[in-house]
Amino acid sequence: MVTNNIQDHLFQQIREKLPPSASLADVISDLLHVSTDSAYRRIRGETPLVLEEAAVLCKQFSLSLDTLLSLKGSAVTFIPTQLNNDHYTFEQYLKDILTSFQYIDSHQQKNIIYLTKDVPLFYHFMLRPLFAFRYFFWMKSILQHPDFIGLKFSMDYLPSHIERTGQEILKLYNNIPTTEIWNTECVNSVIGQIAYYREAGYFHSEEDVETIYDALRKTLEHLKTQAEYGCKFLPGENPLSKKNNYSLFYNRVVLGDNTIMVETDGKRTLYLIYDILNYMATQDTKFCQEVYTKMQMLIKRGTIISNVSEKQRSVFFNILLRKIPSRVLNT
Amino acid sequence: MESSELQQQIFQQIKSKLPQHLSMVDDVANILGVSTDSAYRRIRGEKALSLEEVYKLCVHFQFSFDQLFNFQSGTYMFQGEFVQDFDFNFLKHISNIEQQMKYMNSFTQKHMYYVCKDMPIFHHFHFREIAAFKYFFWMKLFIQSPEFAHKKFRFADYSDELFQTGRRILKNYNQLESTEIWNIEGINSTIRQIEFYRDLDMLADEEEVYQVYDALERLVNHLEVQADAGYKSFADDPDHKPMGSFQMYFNEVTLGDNCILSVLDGNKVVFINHSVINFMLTRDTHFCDRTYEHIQNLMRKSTLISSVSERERTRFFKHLKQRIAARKQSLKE
Repeated sequence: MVTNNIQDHLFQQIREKLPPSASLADVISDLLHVSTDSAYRRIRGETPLVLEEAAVLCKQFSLSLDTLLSLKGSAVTFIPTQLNNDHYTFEQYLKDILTSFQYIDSHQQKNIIYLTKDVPLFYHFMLRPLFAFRYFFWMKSILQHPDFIGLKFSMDYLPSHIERTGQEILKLYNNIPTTEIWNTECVNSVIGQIAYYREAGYFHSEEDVETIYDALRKTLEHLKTQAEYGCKFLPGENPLSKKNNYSLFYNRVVLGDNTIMVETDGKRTLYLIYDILNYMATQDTKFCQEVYTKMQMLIKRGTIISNVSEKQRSVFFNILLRKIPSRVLNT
Repeated sequence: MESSELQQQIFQQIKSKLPQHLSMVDDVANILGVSTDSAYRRIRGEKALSLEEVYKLCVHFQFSFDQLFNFQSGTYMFQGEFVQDFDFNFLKHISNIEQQMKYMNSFTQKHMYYVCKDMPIFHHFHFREIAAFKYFFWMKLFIQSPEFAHKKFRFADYSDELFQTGRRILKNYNQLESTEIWNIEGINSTIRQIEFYRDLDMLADEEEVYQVYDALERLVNHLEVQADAGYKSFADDPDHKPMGSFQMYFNEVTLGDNCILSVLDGNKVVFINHSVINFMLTRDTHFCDRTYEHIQNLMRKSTLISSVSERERTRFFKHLKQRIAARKQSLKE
């Protein structure tokens, strides 16, 4: 970045934002309360802009100087998603994920690489009891929604429109060719959360606990079948009618970190999930390339357990399934 | 030229980033390539900064134009070492960490919150065997050269220079106050990595593998000593001379993500782990505050196992030690 043309650069950007009929000098003279002559001198770079003037222009034209200047070669800007109970609700959050998937799905070439430390988020939407528990946990413990204070778990708290959106997301996700990189720790947090709620007395009955564990078990068994056929599908659908679009890798070397790389017609977008649910996205080419390279290295060292390697696949899923406590009712 | 409010803000921000004993004026003069006198005139607001000068300061002190203008662009800016050379350079990597640690340590009030997925790297440097193995592992994972691909693990390949850098990192880390939120999975990746390369027959000497496990066991013991005492110390210091305070939480509900938040004289900075080994940082106030809240929430859901809760602490460490003992046992068979 040549640093002596920041002013030029700024005016260039403003010019692009103005309708063709507008005169740049008039607009600038208006905004900065200077004569047209003075405005020209600034545009030509003869009079340097002072900081306050630059600030006025940036605000007026919604320009991020950081982005324009790609401040420092080693900086990356991210667009964040931050859930809160007032302005950005869980419902909106799910809707935005759905919109993103619709967007991804609209491309000719599309591909997802999902490096994960938990069971990928979208699979929790498959069976109602598991979704209901996750929803309850997120609302109560993570978002600390006031309506959930003092509440015990009930399947009924999952609103049907949320459940529907979740399933639409899963359906679209299933449509997009995906490589997932898992490790055997991926069920630990959900099992830990169920155990935690059980010990804390947040369940009405042991039956509820059993139902949730059962849904988790069924989800994993379904995911195992997906891996076996090498395609993603919903329970009840015929895997043979689906395209071969799913690779699953068993990663033994590091714990993953919930990173999603999306490729659409050659363009990469990277989503980093940074605190349970919130994520941020970037399309910075260099950064995406760097993460992509690292993901490829993990894939190279991973064991492929989709389509082939029946034995390895069974070993892997058995490890996961064995972690689910069997029959808590009598304990 | 009249003093501008934004200009004052810039210098206030720079001041808050500099440790107290450093003089801002020298730094500013240096970066802008002007005399100390001219730098003073800018700091006092007698001379206006040009946009180019602001840019230079932003780049050097890593703050954001947008934040300065209080402009809600709806984005966060992160800095870090993003693009590696073709060959992953481990010394460069840990030298960067050393720089960051020294920087943090230069503040009066310095507290590091760490939501661990893996054992924080600082602890590795208590024992050379662990540090050597981790070095081998990362090199193996990221170095593409065929020469390294067939190389087997030996302690002897880990240089003194690397280890000394590591020790300096540990020394700086030990002086900070720390709050660490651990999972039971905290040592899994290390064990997994040892087993992975054993399976590939990349560990030349079984005796050395045993020594790595042995060192891991001693490291876990030392973590327990520090958790019990509530402060950090060197494992090889027989007196365990107290250093920075050490709070340890046991988190059973989520897997951590190796996220670090440091509070330095009241200012927050967040480091986020990405692409397995790299970190990037942001000082975005909004982001840092949200992360801080998130960590506080996580602490409320976790069990404090340092200083208090002996029963839970013992249980936590017993679990870690059992894992290591099982591996050691399997080596003997």
